[in-house]
Amino acid sequence: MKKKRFSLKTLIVILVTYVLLAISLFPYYYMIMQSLMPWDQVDKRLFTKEFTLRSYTYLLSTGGASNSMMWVKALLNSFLVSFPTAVISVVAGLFVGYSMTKLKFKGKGFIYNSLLFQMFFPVIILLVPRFMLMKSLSNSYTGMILPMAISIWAIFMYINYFKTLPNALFEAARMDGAGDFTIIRKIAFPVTKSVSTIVFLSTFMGRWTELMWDMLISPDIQMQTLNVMISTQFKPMGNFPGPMYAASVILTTPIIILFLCFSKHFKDGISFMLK
Amino acid sequence: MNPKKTKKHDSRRNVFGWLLNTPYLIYSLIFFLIPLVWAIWLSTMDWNLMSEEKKFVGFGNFIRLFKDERIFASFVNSYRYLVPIVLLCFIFGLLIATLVHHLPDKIKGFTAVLFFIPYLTSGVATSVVVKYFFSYNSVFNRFLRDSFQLDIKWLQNETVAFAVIVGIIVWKMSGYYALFILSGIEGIPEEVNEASKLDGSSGLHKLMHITLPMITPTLTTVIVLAAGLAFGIFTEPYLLTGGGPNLATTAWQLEIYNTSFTRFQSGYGAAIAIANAVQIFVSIRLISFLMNKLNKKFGW
Amino acid sequence: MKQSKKTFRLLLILFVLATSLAACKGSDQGDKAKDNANTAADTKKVKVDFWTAPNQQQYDFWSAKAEAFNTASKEYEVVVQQMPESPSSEAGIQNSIVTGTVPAISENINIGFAATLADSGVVYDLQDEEWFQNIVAERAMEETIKGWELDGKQYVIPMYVNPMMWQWNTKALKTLGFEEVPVTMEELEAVVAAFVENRDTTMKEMGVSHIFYRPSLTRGDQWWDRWHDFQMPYQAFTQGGSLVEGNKLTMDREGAKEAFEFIGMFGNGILTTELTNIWTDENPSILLTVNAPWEINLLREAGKVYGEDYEYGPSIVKKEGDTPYCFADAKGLVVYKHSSISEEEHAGAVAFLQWLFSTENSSQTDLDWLKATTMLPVRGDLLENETFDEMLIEFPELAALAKYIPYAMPSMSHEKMTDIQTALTDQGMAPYVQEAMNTEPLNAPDASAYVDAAIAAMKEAGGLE
Repeated sequence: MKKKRFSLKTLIVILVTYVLLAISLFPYYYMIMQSLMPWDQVDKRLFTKEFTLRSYTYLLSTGGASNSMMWVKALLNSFLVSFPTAVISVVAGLFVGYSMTKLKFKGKGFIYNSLLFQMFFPVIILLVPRFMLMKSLSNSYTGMILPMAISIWAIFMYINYFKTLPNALFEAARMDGAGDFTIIRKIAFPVTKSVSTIVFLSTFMGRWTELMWDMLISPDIQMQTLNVMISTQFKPMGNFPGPMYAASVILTTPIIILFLCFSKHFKDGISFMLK
Repeated sequence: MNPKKTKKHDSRRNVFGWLLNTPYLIYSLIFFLIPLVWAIWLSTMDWNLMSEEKKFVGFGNFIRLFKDERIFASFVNSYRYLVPIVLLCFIFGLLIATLVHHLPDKIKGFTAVLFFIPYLTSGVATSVVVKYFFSYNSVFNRFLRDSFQLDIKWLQNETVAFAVIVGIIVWKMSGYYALFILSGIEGIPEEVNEASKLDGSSGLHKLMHITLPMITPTLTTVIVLAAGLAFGIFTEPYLLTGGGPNLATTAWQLEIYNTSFTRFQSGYGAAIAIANAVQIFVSIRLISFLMNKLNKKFGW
Repeated sequence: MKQSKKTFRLLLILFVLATSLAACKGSDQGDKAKDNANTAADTKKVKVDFWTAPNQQQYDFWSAKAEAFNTASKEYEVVVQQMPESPSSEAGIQNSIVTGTVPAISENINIGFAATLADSGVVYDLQDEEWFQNIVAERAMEETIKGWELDGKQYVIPMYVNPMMWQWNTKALKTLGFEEVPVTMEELEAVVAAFVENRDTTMKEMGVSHIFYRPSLTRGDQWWDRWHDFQMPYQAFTQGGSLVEGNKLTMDREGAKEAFEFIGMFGNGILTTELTNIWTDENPSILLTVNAPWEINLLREAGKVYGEDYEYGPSIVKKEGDTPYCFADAKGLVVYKHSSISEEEHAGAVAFLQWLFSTENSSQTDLDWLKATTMLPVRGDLLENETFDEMLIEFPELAALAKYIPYAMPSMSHEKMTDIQTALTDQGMAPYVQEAMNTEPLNAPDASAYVDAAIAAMKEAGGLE
């Protein structure tokens, strides 16, 4: 009896859900399909049987002798910038979050207020002066990483999470004579795994898809991230839609893969974010 | 306890506390405090970043703001973006969440994750697809022309171009907000659902009187986040419309970027940014205030 | 305690790894002057940075030239790179000046942007340099170079000039019954009228849906396109009138109105929705565009034949006998002056330029340029010098363009050119075209109000009188 009612309603729900999902994922189908189309059919058809990798191989060959690997270099740059940014965000966020909730020390209130102030502060104000400040680091990884290496949002994720954890957990370890860093590594880090996953993925993704700052600080073709390279080649390569689709596929795939790998932790984290 | 030892212990704790915060503090000094002071100073200057000369203009840049139609357009557009984005993200988020909530447990998580994917996509990749998809001879436009005699100027008509950009953002964010709302719905205690069943409450009535009130704190988060998002639009108009046609799709960040770095009026750019920041601050505060009132009404 | 030390090390490693990964590239890109000194010590060669326009053909040309120069030179090594286009190449160069990553030389500089650079004191005045005068003599540019003067000084070594003309869909023209491209307004109106008449019949069968394609007409951020679509008809209607002179807006109101209404005449035949592969498409969907000589090779590869598939037509004039003045899309090389460029690097830049345009190399350089880019080199002897004969015979499209070089007028040379042209688009062209696109062709709406608004905005933007 129960089972019957269940399946009848669910069938409709499943149907509606997956139609909606198909619409929502259609752009990916379109992007991938166009990146594999023969060049004279790009944007002219929704489907083809004559797949070709020409758009992808074009990306490997374009740019002449010394620039020939510019798209590969750009992909590498994206990784070399996003990975350190995400790591620093996690470590710094964990440190600050832990110290704000589980430690008592002089000046804690001051730091907390400073955090609160920055949390609600629109960073767009800082764009021009940050650029002037960092101009000697133009076209360097440092120039791209440092200004985004610390995320106030990440810090608050940790603060809120630590608040839900009983102090006793840390006190007990301290009683056992564990050092401060040991507590962080052995207790604080493992118990915040789901938050760390969220912070890592979010900061990684935020860095990966950053456009404005990277355009300013790292315009050199050898030092552009993939995101920037696609946007700067948008106009000059306007007549080559195939390669632009291929580059977009390459830009999109790593993030989705990374996310799917961590999706289990991610969901735990999201459900926490709402508490 | 030995007071001397406690003192030593205290100072060690202080050192450790500050040590953990050192990266953050250095960051704040270099990337927050110094630029903040600099921005205020810069906003009183007329300077193209290149030349040696800097001219002090006092409040000149701020006075100029009020005469600048680009700034006026950015100001108006930020709310024109805000309203449909918040509403549509909310509606689609709620729709997806409700649907996923009623799915069998086996495919629930998996489906929610798939809806989340658009959130992970760079605005640059989206813009590439949108630009070509809407190009005049694309398969889609040909289909519209051949089958419906429809010739839509997707990125050239003020209203349509605006709708396209709103559409991109709603597409991108709905799955993300759905996850929040889903967690809210799943968090509703079983007793509440049981009670509503006894009352014979279902469908829209249940949504309006049980579900929504139960998840108002979640909705607050979603709305404030979506508002922040609407104020931070840049990539899509930058790549697709350049803020046009007729400034219909322009946004603060685009104007700040263009003023400072393509027209190289850095002082004026800084002044625009300050005006923008004030507006964001006030608006977000106002939204939070209203949502808190709403929360109180439902007893949160 | 041992544990905590171990942990400390672990976190430290993470930090160091992350930050050093960041710093490693930073240090070797950071200080250019030092970088140069180091390489000089290693290989005894001074590196000279050279930026090309952001496109493949020009990059390939300069790479080849630099390689030849580097083999010949014992002292210098020219390093070629495409200039960043974010969002325009002009903005990219300004960015590099601010950050000190500016190259020693770059190409792709037009006279208007040279004025901006000269105003900020970041390019060398070449007027009194002997080597510059030699280059002028070598390429017979004595007359041409006068058009490149800024306040009595010379900052640019002109590289190429494209007379901007109309590019016609020859097959469509013939289908409409026209054997020749139109030259006067009267002839053009006849073509437009014929198009309107056949729009739903023969034109539709050919896939020609619109008269005129120009996506940037409504985009202020693509101000540079006003050089081509506005300035060309403006020059023709005013018989070579100017837009800005010194600090004065000299734009002729009547001429500007006519230029606006020239475009407005195409009415709903204007296509501003983006097209890809406009001319390489099997059946181009438009009747005309502004020409793009840099695409000649691309079109040939696609099997398009000049005179059959497409052809260039002169700037349309009001009445027969008028001179078809048009816009000169002309760009050249500048030598940058900046504290990050060492004396040696600057000397290397000059040496490279001297080598390029020396007596033995100059014709070959320009010929190679023409072959690589299909853009006409700036030379007074282009049509007389037999080096170029073969190429001009093989490429009738280039010969057609070369004829119009004498009528091509340069852009305004005001340091606020960007702002002025943005204002022209935002206040004038963009809203006017929006209105015009709602009308049938040949019923151009009155442009007076838009021109007046544009004039006011241009004065304000450039601080002009």
